[in-house]
Amino acid sequence: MAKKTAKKAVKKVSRKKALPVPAKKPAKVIMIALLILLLALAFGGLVALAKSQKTFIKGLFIPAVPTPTATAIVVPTAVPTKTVALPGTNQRLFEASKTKEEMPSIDITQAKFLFDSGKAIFIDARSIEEYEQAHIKGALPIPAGLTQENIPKFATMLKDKILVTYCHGSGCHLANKTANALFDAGYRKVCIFWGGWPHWTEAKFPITQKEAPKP
Amino acid sequence: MQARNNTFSFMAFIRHPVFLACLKIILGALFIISSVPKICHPQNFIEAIAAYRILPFALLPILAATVPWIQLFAGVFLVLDIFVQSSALIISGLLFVFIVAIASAFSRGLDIECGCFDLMGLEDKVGWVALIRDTIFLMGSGLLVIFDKNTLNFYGVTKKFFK
Repeated sequence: MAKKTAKKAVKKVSRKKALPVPAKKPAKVIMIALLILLLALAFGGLVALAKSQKTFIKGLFIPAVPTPTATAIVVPTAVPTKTVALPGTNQRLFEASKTKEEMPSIDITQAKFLFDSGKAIFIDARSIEEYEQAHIKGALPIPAGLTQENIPKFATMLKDKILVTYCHGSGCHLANKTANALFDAGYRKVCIFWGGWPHWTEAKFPITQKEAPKP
Repeated sequence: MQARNNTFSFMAFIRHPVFLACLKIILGALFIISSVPKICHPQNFIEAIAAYRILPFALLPILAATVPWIQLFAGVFLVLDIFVQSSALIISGLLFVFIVAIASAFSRGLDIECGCFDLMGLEDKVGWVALIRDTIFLMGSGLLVIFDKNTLNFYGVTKKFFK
């Protein structure tokens, strides 16, 4: 009897030893990872496509409502050298935003379009020192940290204008912070010029610069 | 002998299902949380990647449209305990890329936002903190790749139902 149990025990041990170690399947792991990636990519792609379709459709319909089509055709052909942007896409810049998320983020062409229109005021969200060194022509200094003090100071100048905030360009969030503060203060026609100071100076558009001290 | 015991207990600790479950939930939740603002405001994310000055501008919108979704999917799969090894592998890959990008920006002395958690409004600049944090995350996801399972596990709930 004892021998039998001993044999069984040996068998058990040998079985345990003989059991294959659960095989790791890196190929399977990578395959499933690729599938998840594909799923995410497909989803992201579809969402992006749906968004672009929406803006495309919006762009198609907006210009037809406020402006007659004849002028819309004449403007770009008559002045080909000036910055001419599509009336449909730029129409949005003159409209009030209902939420902070709706505030348009604009590029250099749209910024120049607004600058030329004369209906916009540029707002420098950088520090006062940087503003004093140089700024976009006609811009007002409202640094992101001094919004509480400076917004009421310029209230009369900001009234009924389209406000375009800018800072150091890509990666700088000061323009967004100032735009949010302006929105909170009750201004609804606020745009964020994301290209900011670097794009404006690269394009050599009008700036006001501090004169170098004479020797 | 004692040292051997210690290493044994440490190994047992990192293989322990509760420890792995905590890792999954923390990592997954972090990735979900960081991906949502990027999905809602892709323009901000494009600006954040552009600030690194590594990739050409044409690639940025494509990345901004896809990377946050990859983060979200991998995060959700981790939290739900589905195909953990594969999801953790994806997260490890993303973290590796983030670490390389942050290290490159840091070495070039760029004073920019990280683009990791700052899109939610938190202060998060490129620097040692971001590098060390991402390295710790990478170690965590590495542990999941090595020690976890790659099934529809749902923390063992499916086993109970389909027994």
